[in-house]
Amino acid sequence: MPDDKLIVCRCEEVTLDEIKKAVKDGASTVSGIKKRTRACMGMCQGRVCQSLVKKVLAHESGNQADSIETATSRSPVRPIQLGEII
Amino acid sequence: MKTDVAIVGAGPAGLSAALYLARRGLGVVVLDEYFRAGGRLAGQLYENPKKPPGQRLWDGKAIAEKLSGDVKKAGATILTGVSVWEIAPGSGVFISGGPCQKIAAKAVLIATGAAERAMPVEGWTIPGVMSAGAAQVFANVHGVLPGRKVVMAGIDPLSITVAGELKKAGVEVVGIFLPPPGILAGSSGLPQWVIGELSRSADMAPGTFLKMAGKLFGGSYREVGARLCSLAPANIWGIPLHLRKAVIRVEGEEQVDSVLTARISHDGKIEQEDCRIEADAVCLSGGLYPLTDLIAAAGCPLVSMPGLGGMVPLHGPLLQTQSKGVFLAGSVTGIEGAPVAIAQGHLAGVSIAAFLGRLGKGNRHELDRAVEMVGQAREESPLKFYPGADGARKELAALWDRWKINSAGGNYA
Ligand SMILES: Cc1cc2nc3c(=O)[nH]c(=O)nc-3n(C[C@H](O)[C@H](O)[C@H](O)COP(=O)(O)OP(=O)(O)OC[C@H]3O[C@@H](n4cnc5c(N)ncnc54)[C@H](O)[C@@H]3O)c2cc1C
Repeated sequence: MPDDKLIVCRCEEVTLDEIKKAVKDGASTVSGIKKRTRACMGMCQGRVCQSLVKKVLAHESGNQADSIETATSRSPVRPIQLGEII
Repeated sequence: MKTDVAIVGAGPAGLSAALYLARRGLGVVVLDEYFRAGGRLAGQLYENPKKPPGQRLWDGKAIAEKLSGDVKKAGATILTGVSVWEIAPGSGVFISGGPCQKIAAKAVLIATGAAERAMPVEGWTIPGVMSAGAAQVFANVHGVLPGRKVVMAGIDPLSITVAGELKKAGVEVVGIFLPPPGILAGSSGLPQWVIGELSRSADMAPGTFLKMAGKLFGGSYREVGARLCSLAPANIWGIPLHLRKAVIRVEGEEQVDSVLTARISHDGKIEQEDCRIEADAVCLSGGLYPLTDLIAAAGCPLVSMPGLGGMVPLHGPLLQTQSKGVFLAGSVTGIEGAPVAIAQGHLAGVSIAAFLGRLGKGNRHELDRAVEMVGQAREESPLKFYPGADGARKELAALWDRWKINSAGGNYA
C-alpha cells in the first residue's frame, strides 16, 4: 500500500508517509507529530486519528502502542464560538 | 442555570442516573450534543440468549424512548443539541449551543460514552465509506440503509453485530473481512489474533462462539470451528466471515463502487490479490474506546487498560473520581454493553445522592444493591467487547485503593 497516499488524519489530510517522516525527523510523542504535521489538530481534535498516530509512533520506535502517552486534553474539548467564552 | 446535578451524556448511563436522582427529588439537567436523547442505545437491536425466553429481545430504540420519557416525567430537564466543553472548576459545566453558558451544579456526572477507533484503508475517504457505528445509526436510528451491497472490514464484536443488524434491515452484506494488514491494523490484521480475541470475548472456544453468535440472530449455524483457519469463510447469520482475507483497497470515483480483497497468510501478510467485489458502501471497524476528552481535561488521571478498550479515567468502586463531586458512569469507564451502562448509571445516581447527603439514613443498603446490580448486568451480557474486562476492573480498583491510601483527601461517599 503506498504510504504517501493513505490519509491518516482526515481533518488535516495528513498521510501515513508524512507521519513516518515526522518520526524520522525526531518526533517521539503525539505532541511532536502535531507540531510537525498538524495531525490531531483539526475539527475532531484527534478523536479519530490519535490512536493511529500512536501506533505509528510505537511501531517506528519499536515500542508498545500503550507506552506512547495520550496527548493532554485541553478545554474547550469541542469547537465553540469565541463569543461563547468572552 | 443552577441545579443539583449536571449530567453530561443522555445515553443509557446518563439517563438511568437522571431517573434515580430526579425520583429522589433532586434537580437534574441532562446535556447531550446529539439532537435526541438515548446515546448509542438507540442503535441497538438484538436478542440475548442468556436471558429467559420472552425477555430476549433488546430493542434499544424503544428502551431509550421509554427511559427518556420517564426521566422527563420524574422532573429532570434534558437539553439536546448542547455540547459540554469544560467541567467548571467549582462545580458544574460550561456549555455551547444551549440557553446559557454555564450550568452550576453541586455534582457532575460524566457519561460521555465511547468513540470508534478508525481503521484506514486506501480509499477510505471516498463517499460511501463509513464506520460500523455510523452504519448502525443509519439503519437502526434513521431507518436509512447505508447501501444495498455492503462490505465490512475489521472483525470484532461490534462489526459482527452491525453486520447482522444490517442484514436484518435488508442490506446484502457481502462479507466481513480483515482490515488491510500493516502498522495501522496491527494485531487486528492477524488471523490467529482475531480468532483468539473473538473467542475470549465470548468466554469460549471459537466454534462455540460462532454457535452462540448464530443463536443471537437465530440464523443457521454450521460446523465451522475446524474451518476457521482455512481459506473458506466461516458463516455467521448467513454472512461470510473471512478470517483469511482482507480488504486492501476501496475504489470508486464519486462514490464507492468496489473493493479489492487479498488472501492473508497465518502471520498476517498479503499472499496474493484475490478479487474485486462490487459494493456501494464499506463499513470500517477498529473497535471502541472510552471518550475521555472532557474528564481528562479536568485533570482526572487516565490509566491504560486494554481490557476496557484503552485509556480509562481512574475511578473508585462507587464511580467517584479524584475530583470531589465529579462522577463517571457507562462506557467512559470502560467499554461494555448497554445493560451494564444502565446499571452503572443507577449506581452513580445512588452514589451522588449519598455524596450530597440525600440518600437518607436507612438507605445505605441501596448502594450495596446498586453495586450488585452492576455485577449482575455484567454476567448477563451476551458479549464482551474486550476480553479481560473483569481483570482490568480489578486492577483499576487496586489502583484506586492505592491512590486513596497515598492521599490525604480520599474521603468520599
Ligand atoms: C458506535 C458504537 C456502537 C455500539 N454498539 C453497541 C451494541 O450494538 N451493543 C451494545 O451493547 N453496546 C454497543 N455500544 C457500546 C455502548 O457504548 C453501550 O452500549 C452504551 O450505549 C453506553 O452507554 P453510555 O451512556 O455510557 O454512552 P452512550 O450511549 O455512548 O452515550 C453518550 C452520550 O454522550 C454524549 N456526549 C459525549 N460527549 C459529550 C459532550 N462533550 N457534550 C455533550 N454530550 C456529549 C453523546 O452524544 C452520547 O449521546 C456501542 C458503542 C459505540 C460507540
